[in-house]
Amino acid sequence: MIEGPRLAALVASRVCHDMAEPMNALIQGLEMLKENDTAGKNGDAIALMEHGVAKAWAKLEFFRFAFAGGGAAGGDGDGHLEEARAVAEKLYGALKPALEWRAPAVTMPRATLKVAMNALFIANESLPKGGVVTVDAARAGDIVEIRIGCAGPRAGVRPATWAALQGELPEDGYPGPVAQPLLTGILARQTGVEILQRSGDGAVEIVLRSPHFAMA
Amino acid sequence: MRTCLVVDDSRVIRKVARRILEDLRFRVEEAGDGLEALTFCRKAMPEAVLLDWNMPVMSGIDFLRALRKERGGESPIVVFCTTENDIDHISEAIKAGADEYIMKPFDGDILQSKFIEAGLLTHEAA
Repeated sequence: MIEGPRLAALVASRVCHDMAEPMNALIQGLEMLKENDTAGKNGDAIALMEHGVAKAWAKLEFFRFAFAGGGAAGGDGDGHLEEARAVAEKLYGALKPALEWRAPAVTMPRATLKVAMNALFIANESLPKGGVVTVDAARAGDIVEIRIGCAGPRAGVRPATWAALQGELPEDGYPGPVAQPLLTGILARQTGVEILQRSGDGAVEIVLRSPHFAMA
Repeated sequence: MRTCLVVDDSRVIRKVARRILEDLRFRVEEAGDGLEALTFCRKAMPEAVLLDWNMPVMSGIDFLRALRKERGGESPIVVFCTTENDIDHISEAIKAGADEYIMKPFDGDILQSKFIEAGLLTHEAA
């Protein structure tokens, strides 16, 4: 029997793989359209397509990194938190909240990079009205913490999301938004990452702690 | 002027790549599969090859392995394009002799920066 998270990664990988080619055609086709529209006759249509293409592209790269485990997040050995930065910045470019990356260099097992990227997605959902997501890292005693701050109106991790992160299965079926935190929780436990939540003052902080994180 | 051979089974994708590469001041030649590409290289080795991974007749990796065994075949800088998410595929291609890879999807800016990383362009030229 193949284990659940491994199978989920393979399915996600297949989906991302099959979407890459048509996405490529859309991106490059749009570039050609823009070049040929020097008179600006199709400005509105091009702007609409640009918006859609940018969002789809950012999400595809995020899914590839966070779920499929391809590219930087794939494989064994150590990786760096910084590797998630470009994907995260592109993702947040297409989302409502702004992203501020303040984290110093953190060395971490590649498998835990997926957890960090998933936590960044949960941060977005914790800011329904937009706001600012900050990424930082610091030592707390002898352990390194990655701190993802969410500040904005109605900031808060949804209770159903938090329960799923803890591995609590919903009682009445699986609503769409639960799958991602459920998988994040499983990956975190598998890779020895503890996820905490700290809140106060209209802001919430999602904290990832692991003895396997290292700072210079 | 340096030559870049674009190897892809899609005529439209070759056209798109030609547009970007000509802007970067390459002379562009096209091949529709690995075998055509190999035939071209035997006649005139290009300075660069932009290589698609999945092609009929002769795939990207088969072409790459064959190219590196040819006389003078070690000289072209090969940048390959892939939709594979799997890190194993990428290391396989690097082992077969690729210099740089691009994950699809990509735009003109990404292609340009990969060509700079592969040493085919300088920041000034781009």
